[in-house]
Order: sequence, then structure tokens, then C-alpha cells
Amino acid sequence: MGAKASVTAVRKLPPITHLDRAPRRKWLEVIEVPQGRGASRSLAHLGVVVSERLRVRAVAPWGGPILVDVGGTTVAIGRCLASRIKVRLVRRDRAGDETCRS
Amino acid sequence: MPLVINSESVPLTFRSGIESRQVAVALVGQPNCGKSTIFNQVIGYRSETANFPGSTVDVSRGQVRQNGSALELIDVPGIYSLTTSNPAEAAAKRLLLTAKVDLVINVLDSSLLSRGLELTLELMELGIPMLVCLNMMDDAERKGIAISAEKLSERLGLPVVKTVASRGLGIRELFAKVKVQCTQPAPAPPPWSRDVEKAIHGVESTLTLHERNATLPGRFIASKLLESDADLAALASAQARTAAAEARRELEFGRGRNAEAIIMGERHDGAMRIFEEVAVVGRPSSDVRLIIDDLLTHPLWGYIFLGALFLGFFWIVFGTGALLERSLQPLFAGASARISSWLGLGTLKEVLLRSVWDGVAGGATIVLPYLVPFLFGLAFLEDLGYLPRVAYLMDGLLHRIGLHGTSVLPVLLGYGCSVPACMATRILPSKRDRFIASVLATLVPCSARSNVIVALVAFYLGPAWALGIFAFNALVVILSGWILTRVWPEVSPGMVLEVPRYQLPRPMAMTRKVWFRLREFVVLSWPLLIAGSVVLALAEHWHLDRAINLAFSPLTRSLGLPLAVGTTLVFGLLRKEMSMIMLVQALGTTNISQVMSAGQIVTFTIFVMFYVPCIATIAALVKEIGRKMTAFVIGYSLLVATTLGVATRFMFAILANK
Repeated sequence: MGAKASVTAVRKLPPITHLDRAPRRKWLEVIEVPQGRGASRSLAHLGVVVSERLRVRAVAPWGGPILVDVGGTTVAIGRCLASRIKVRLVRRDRAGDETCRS
Repeated sequence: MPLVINSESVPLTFRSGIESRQVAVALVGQPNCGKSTIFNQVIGYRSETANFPGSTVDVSRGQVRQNGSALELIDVPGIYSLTTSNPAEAAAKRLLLTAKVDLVINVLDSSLLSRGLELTLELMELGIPMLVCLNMMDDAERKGIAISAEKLSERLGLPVVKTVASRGLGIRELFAKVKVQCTQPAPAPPPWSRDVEKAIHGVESTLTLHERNATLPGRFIASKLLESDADLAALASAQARTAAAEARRELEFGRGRNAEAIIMGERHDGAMRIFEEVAVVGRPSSDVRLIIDDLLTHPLWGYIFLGALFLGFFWIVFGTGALLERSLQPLFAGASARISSWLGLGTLKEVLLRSVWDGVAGGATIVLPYLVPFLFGLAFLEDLGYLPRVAYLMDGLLHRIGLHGTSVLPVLLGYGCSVPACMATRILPSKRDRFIASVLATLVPCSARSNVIVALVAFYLGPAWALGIFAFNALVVILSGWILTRVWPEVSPGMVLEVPRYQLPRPMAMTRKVWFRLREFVVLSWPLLIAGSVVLALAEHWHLDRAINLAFSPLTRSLGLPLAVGTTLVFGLLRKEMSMIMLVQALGTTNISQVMSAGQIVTFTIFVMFYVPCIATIAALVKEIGRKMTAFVIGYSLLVATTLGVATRFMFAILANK
């Protein structure tokens, strides 16, 4: 019984996934970005940093980039790089997320 | 030891007094925030603008007089931070660190205020007098963001002016503050977390007296050493570097992240705090652009639209050009015939005057009718902000041949002119990507070569043939990319590209941009074309062209072209459209189809499309990728052009025999 309850609790946790597999149009929280200097710097410059919230808007076919809304702008992130960004589904939107934060 | 950033000496002394020289004002901000638009509003159209990040890759300067005193305005390429990752950003950093700037006008896109403030906080660390310009206020309002300029000014300790540069609003107010503000050093930015401050102070205390009295504040040098900034690390004393490494280790141990990420995080949080204090985010007004964008980036409709747009673009350019060419040509041809009958056919006077007139006619009837609509179309797409969407849509396909995302943008610009396209490769961080993108950008038909395709192939053989040639060119570009990326394999960082909001292009701004680009043809190429026409006519008159044609005969014979074409290829090196106009002159007729078969027209076009870039492009290539690599590009393009030209000739011969 106890084991079953803990399994249910684990299932209720917001799932962690990689950005390239994240559902579209759902708010996500960045929990890990690649450690390499070049990639993490480019992402940070455009607002893709740990704890920032973003939303996948479109996914290009043929292994193309992911288009994400982040910090009031739209950024295209290569599929390979997106596969190295860990995100978590956010259950409830933070104030301002529904509109747009700058 | 003086600091040296990319070979330019940075004297470690405080800036000289501004009374002794002209005041230098630099427009600094993140990419695509409107710096060049402000520059052009003040100076006149001298800096290319477009709605995508990285449209400015070089520093532009202009003089402006204000209240009787002259000041130098500098348009700086966009930077996200002072730790740079590509040559365009490095040019901006070099300018700011070499202390030739008396005032920084920090331009911010108001609709992306919190992100822009990260750079503001970093710029404040430099201690250079500053003025904050909240540009694109109309966009911020549309997004429901209300910003209090007073609160922001109070929070930063700097004057803040709201502007909408595209409409010229607020520019006068902004420049009215320049003179007073350039005597006020920027205040220190708000402090960071205790552990980071401790690390910075630790490193700062190890800086030598010489370094501490530098133009650059000790705190800035210390923070950059902590961020492992390669430029400053290479120049700091061994003692400072050791202290920075130690402080970095301690900081990383405490926070579990690399020091650069920690410091960027501090700026990010600081900017967020200021944003929350000075701005109120309400409900944005409904924006039809988002719905359009969903359609244009759709996995199916996006490509259908891209194809339709390319076809539409081609039909408009060809339709307008052919209509104008057909109406203008009889007028100019009639005048040319009158000159001949008036001065007597074959006399030196007649040869001279008619060749001048033919040069004028070539520009007016063959180049301008196609070039003007082409440049308007390109300016429209650039200002609209569609090009980054093309890069987004094409990335997946190009990735398969080893090319990476952002490389698409310079290659796309190659359809306008190869020179800015080669320069645009500066936005790429990898040297290898810059080289490959440069090669591919020179293979893409620029407006001059497109002119040859449209005015020769589409005009004489039909639009479908011309479209086929464009498609064939794309295939060759893709194949070349595939080969080059295998010759120089490298793991690329992948695409990280900001996709800007759509902006409705303003007719006046587009006209100024088109004139800016057209001026090069009118002022430089057209006179060259007239001179070339005279030289060719005189060479024909004195039968000197035979020697040139004979020298080129191995090539023209292999391609199956008339011998007279040899001289035109020499002129094509100066400007690509000249090979087309000189063809008219060399063959002695405006009706090419009378003297050249369909196979010869296509062979000639394919050869001209790929062979050796024009002189201006070669100069740009030498600057961007060096002499050796430029020699490779020339050799490669000649090889591609000759191989494909000969193959086309034989393909037509086989088809004719069937």
C-alpha cells in the first residue's frame, strides 16, 4: 500500500524531459543547460538560463531547430543543442507568464 | 604592460580630456535594438539596417554638428555582453575597451527591457559616461509593457530617454543630453551577491598599480578575469591570473556552476530586479503577427509559403524587368542607330560616341529594370524580418550536409550582394563555418548574376529555364557545402538564433536602403560599364580584341561559345553584369538569340554564375578569410564553373543529336 502511494507521488512530480522532446505550447522551466562555454553563453545571452520559463512554439522538420518563446522574444535552438537542455513542465503558470514578460 | 586587445594597444591611462578633440559618441546595445536606425536618422543612410540580429558587422562613423560643436557618432555592432564570441562582437568590444569613446548611448529594445538591462549593467562597469535610450517604445506598449523612465533613471543613476527611432521620435531629446552627460562618469552598477563580490575584491586587490590605474576599472578587469575572458586573461599579470583561478575555484565549489554562468546569472537577476521595479506588464494587445508567424513557421505551410514566395519574387522581378526592358530597348537602339548614321558607320568618332551610348543603354535597359525591383524585394524581406525564418526552415535540410543554422543567413544575403554576405560571416563564431559560409555565399547568384540569369535566360529562353538555373545553383551550393564540410570536419556549436518580431517595412526606409545599394552601381559600376564599352569598341575597331579572344580561346572553345565571348569574361571580373552587357557589345546585336543557340546561352550563364567572384568580392574575401583561402575560393569557383559549363555544353549537344 505504502509502496503504491509512493509510486503515485513520484508520478505526480512534474516530469523532466529534454527540450527537443517537450510538448508544444506548454510552459516549461529550464533546469539544466549545457556546460560548454560557447553554447551556454549563447543561450544565456538570449535568456535561456536555469529557472527561466519558456514555451516551445514550433519544431522544424528533418531534425531542424526548435522555436521557443523565452523572455518576450523567440529563439531558434538547434535540435542537438535542444536535446542537451533539461526542462520541467510547469503545472501552474507564474504571474505574467500568460501574457509576456520582457 | 599595456593591455592589448586584438593587436590594438589599449593605453592604461584615464581617457584624455574631451576639450582637446571631437566628442566621440558610441551607440551600443544588443543586436537588432535599432542602433543603426538611430545612426541613420542623425547622419543620413550610411549604415545598413535590417530586421534581424547581426545586420551591422562593422563599426560605422559619421560627423554631426550639435549646438555649434561637432561630434563623432559611432554605430557599433550589436553585442549581448562584453565577453564576445564572434568577430563582429569583438569589433564592438575592441572599440569600447580602447577608450576612444567619450559617451556611450546604450540603446535598448524596450520590449525586451530586462534582457537589455543585463548589458546596461555590464557597460556601467566600464565607468564610461552613459545615456540610456529606451527605443522601440511602440513595441513595448503593444506588448502591454509600461515603463517608467523616471524610475529607471533613478535606479540606474543615468538619464533615460524614450524613443521610436524608426519614426524619428525622441531623437532630438536624446541628443540634447549628449553634451552635458559626457562629462559625467557612469555610476557603479548595483553590487552582486556577497560571495561574488568577495571573489571580485580578492582578484582586484592583486592587480598591479599599473593595472589599477588603467582606463578600465579594476572591478571590470577582475570580473572579466573571473569570467575567463580570453582577451583580458592573456594580458593580465600572472599574479592576477592565479588569484582569479583560485577565486573561480572557490566560487564554483560553493555554487556548483561555472564562474561565467554565475556572473551572467548575477547580471540576469540584477536586470530582472530593476525591470520588476520600473515596469508593469499588462495584457498585450492582440497581435496578428503571432498568428501569421505560426503559419509561416509551420512544418508544412511554412515550406509551401517559402516556395510560393520565391516564385512570386522571381515573377515580380522578371515581369517588371522584362516589361521595362522591352519598352526601353527600342528607344535606346533607335538613338544608337541615329548616332551611327549621323557620324558615319565605322569612323572613330562614331565608334567612340556609340560605345558610350551603348554603355549608358546597357545600364538603363538591361541592369536597372531587373536590379531595382530585386533590391526592393530583398529590402522588403529583410525589413519584414522573414530571413531568420528562412534560416529556421532551412536549418534541418542544411544540417544534413554538415552546415549549421546561423550560416544560412550570410548565404541568403549572398542573393543580394556577395560583399556584405562575406562580411556577414562575422556573426559566426567558428573560423571553419566562416570560411565555408564565405565560399557558399560567393557561389549563390548575387543581384548582378541574377540579372544575367533573368535578362539572358528568362528573356530569351523563358522564365522556366531561369527558374531551373536557380534550382541548379542551389543544388551546386548544397553539394559544395557537403564536400567542404567533409574536407574540414568540425563539431559546430549548432544554431542559437534570435527570431525577431515582424515589422511592417516603411517605404521611405526601404527606398533609402535601395538607393544606398543602387548607388554603388550608379556611381561606380555604370561609369565602369561605359568605360568598358568604349575600351571594347576601340579594341574591336583596331582589331585588338582578337588577341584577348585568342588567349581565351581554349576556354571558350571548351565551352562551345563564340570566340568573341572571351573579352566579356574579363569585364565580368569587374562586375558580373558587365559580362552580359559586354556580350551585347561583343556580338554586335541586342538580340542574342540570333547569334547564340539555347545551349550556348545556358552554358554561358552557368559559367558566369560560378566563375571567379568579382573584384569587390575578392577584396572582401581577403579581408575576411585571408589570401590563401581566397585563392582557394577563386580556384574552386573556376573549377566548378568550367566543369559545369563543359558538362552543360555536352548535355545540350547530346540532346540535340537525339
